[in-house]
Amino acid sequence: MNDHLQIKSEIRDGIPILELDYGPNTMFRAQVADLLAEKLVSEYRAGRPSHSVVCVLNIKANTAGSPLVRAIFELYNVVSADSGTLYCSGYPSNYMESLTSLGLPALPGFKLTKTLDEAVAFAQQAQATEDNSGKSQ
Amino acid sequence: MSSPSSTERVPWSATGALVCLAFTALMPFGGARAMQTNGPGQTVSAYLAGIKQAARKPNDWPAKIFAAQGLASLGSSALSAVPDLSSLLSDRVPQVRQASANAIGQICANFKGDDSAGRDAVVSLLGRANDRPEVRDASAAAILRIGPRATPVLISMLRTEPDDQLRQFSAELLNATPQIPLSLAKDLAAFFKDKISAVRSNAAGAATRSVEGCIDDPANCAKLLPTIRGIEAALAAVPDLHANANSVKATVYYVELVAANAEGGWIVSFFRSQGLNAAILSFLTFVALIVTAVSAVNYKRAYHREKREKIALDEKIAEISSVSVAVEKNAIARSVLKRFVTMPQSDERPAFTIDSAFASASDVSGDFYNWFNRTDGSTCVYLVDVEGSGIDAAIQATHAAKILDRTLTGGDIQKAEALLEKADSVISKELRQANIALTMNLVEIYPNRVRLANAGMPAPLLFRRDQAQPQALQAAGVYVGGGYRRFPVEPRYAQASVSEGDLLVLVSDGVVEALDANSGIFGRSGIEAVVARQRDDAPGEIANAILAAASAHAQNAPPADDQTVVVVRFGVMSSAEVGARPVVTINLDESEAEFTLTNTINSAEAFHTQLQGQIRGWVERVEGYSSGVIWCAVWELLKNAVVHGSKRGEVISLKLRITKNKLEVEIEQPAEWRGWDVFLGDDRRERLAPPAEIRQESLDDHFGTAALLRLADTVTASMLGRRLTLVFAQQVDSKQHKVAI
Repeated sequence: MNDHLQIKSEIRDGIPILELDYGPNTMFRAQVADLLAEKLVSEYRAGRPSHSVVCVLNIKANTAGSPLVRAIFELYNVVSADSGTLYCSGYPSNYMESLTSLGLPALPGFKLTKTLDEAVAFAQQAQATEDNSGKSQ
Repeated sequence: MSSPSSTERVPWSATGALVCLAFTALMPFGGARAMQTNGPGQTVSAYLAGIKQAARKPNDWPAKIFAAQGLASLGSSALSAVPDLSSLLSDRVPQVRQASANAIGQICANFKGDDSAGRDAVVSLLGRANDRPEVRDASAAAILRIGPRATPVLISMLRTEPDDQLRQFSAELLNATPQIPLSLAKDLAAFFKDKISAVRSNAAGAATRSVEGCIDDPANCAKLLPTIRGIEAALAAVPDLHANANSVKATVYYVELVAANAEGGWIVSFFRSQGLNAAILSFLTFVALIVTAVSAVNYKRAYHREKREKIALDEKIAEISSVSVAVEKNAIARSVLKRFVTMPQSDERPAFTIDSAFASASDVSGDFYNWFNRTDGSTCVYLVDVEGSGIDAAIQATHAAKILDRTLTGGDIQKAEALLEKADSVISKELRQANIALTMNLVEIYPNRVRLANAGMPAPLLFRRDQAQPQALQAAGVYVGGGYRRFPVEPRYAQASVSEGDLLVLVSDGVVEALDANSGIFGRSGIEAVVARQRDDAPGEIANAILAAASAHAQNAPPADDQTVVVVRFGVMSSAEVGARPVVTINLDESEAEFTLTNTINSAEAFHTQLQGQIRGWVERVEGYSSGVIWCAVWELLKNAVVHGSKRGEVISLKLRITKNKLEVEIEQPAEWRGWDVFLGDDRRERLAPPAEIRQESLDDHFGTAALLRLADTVTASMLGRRLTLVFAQQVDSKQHKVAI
């Protein structure tokens, strides 16, 4: 399947993880950015623990482009609105310039990581920090 | 034939006979005995002596009568006594004159004496023209008994006699003469214009009878023809003799006929057996009747033929006119309908592939279908069946198609049933006069679901992968244009989730209702059977197979109604379809790389796998350019060209060109892009210019063009947005966008 689209959500060690996979042709669908954004946001909202301020987006696809960037941007807006941080792993390296050209990696509350484990580790660290700061308050 | 016959002259003969009988009864002396005892010569002399004796005794008229009768009884042997008898014609006693005339007639019958004697006798008899009727009749009878030898005298009398009554009497006698030689009859022509009517008519009658008489000698008919025609001409010249002229003309025809039939043959024999006059009359009547009948028949035939020809001509004109109109309509319908025939060849969008087949009941169709894409990424497909078939239905379909094209694609109405309501309202309003009503359905197609509204069409069938039985998508509604909006029927819509490999089949009623010899319909089961066999084939092949099966079901009879099948396959194209299309051709040299790309459903995958390596490698040969930046820019250009700038099967041209200190990327797509100046203009470029912080409002949700502006040094559009050119300046450090991860 070269244009399938699949989003899975899970909670690993208290960290909500969204796993995104799609075929190359998905990037050439019309309005695919809206579709991706809707799905990502809805999955995030549906699966995140109430106290969570982080989200990990793991991209398994090997193509990307502006639609994916926009979808990530929408998710970032939701996560950051809760003062959270979005960790993105697995972004296709051959399409990294699409992401960087639009300045997303430079935004606060957005982090790029090479691997999912790395992203989860960063997220756990951030969540723990948040949890601790919450207890101290 | 108005002249009196000889039998009509009997009264004077009878009178004469009675007189004779009376005289015989009264005879007291022995004259008769003397005749019996003496020879004829002595008897004539005796009678003559008796006449002479009586002449000396003026009152002894019985003796004269007795002598005349006695001479008459002697016949031609008493010819020598004719002069004395002629002298008695002027006796003062009428009976004597009558007896004398009678005696002359009997003596001179078949007269063979010299002409002068006969002429004198006739002249004497003619002298009784003004006598008492019985004497006059007796004289006439005597002349007629004299026969043909009297004719020249009679004609001579007509010519020379100043006494009108005598001339009239002569003419009457001529007319009563049974046989006048034609050589003499022609002389009668001189009297056809006589001052005396009776002379004219009797002369004409005599001539006519003479002409008629010549028919008895058919062998001479041809010789006599000039004379007859002369008489005919003379008669024809006198208005009151036309009857005679026509009689003679009839004779002329007869003579001509006889002349033509040299041997006489059966016709002459027939006429002779029937009697000449009656035969000629019958013949002429017969000919006239035949001619009249034939003419009448011919006229009637000609009339009816002309009438038929006129009707046929009118019908032909009407037909030609009708055909002309039909041809014109047909041409119009064809030209308009062409897009319905050619447009839906197939379409391959990332979420589905669509194709169709149709068979029309005539040369044009009242069925059509179309689709349109919406801004939310969904596609609407609608199938329409205009009532009826043929050119009228096709023309109505043309009107309806224009309205639907305008109505459905504009505005922001999303739901299928709401679209049909709008179509119903507009069509009923704009085509009220045409009274058009449509059955149609409309399917919204999303990546993972479909939503249907239906106005009287057969329920679309959704064949799910790995499921044998299809799901009928049941939605209901009355005709579009006939009250779909005003009379809502439940269920108003139907929807179902779809996934890759599912098939949606839409058909018009002409497919479902195709009948076999036993009036069994093709039905849903016929469609299911085809899909069960061929579900992995391309949608177009499935659609054609359904129509072929419907045709086979109907024993290959021409469709009774228009038949349309639309098949939508959700998901990707089959591998066979993909392999059949050249996606990428590459032509590389030192300074320029050229790629010809075909828009297909798997373009992204092909570009990703085939172009990325080629372009990146070609760019990396030269320092100062980021292959990643170039590739990402190319990728965005390709995405826009595939999604917005071209249709499936159309070609996209991509060129990379390296010149001094710069690298140009040029892409050319078939479709215009009129928004290029908005998204690539200076204002937006300034808002997006690095290293300024990116804000979402600056991106305007158009991340693709934003990425191009951020990746390339300059972005320009030409050819109304069909061509975009990106320029990348050579950099010492080309990794300006690189972000540490």
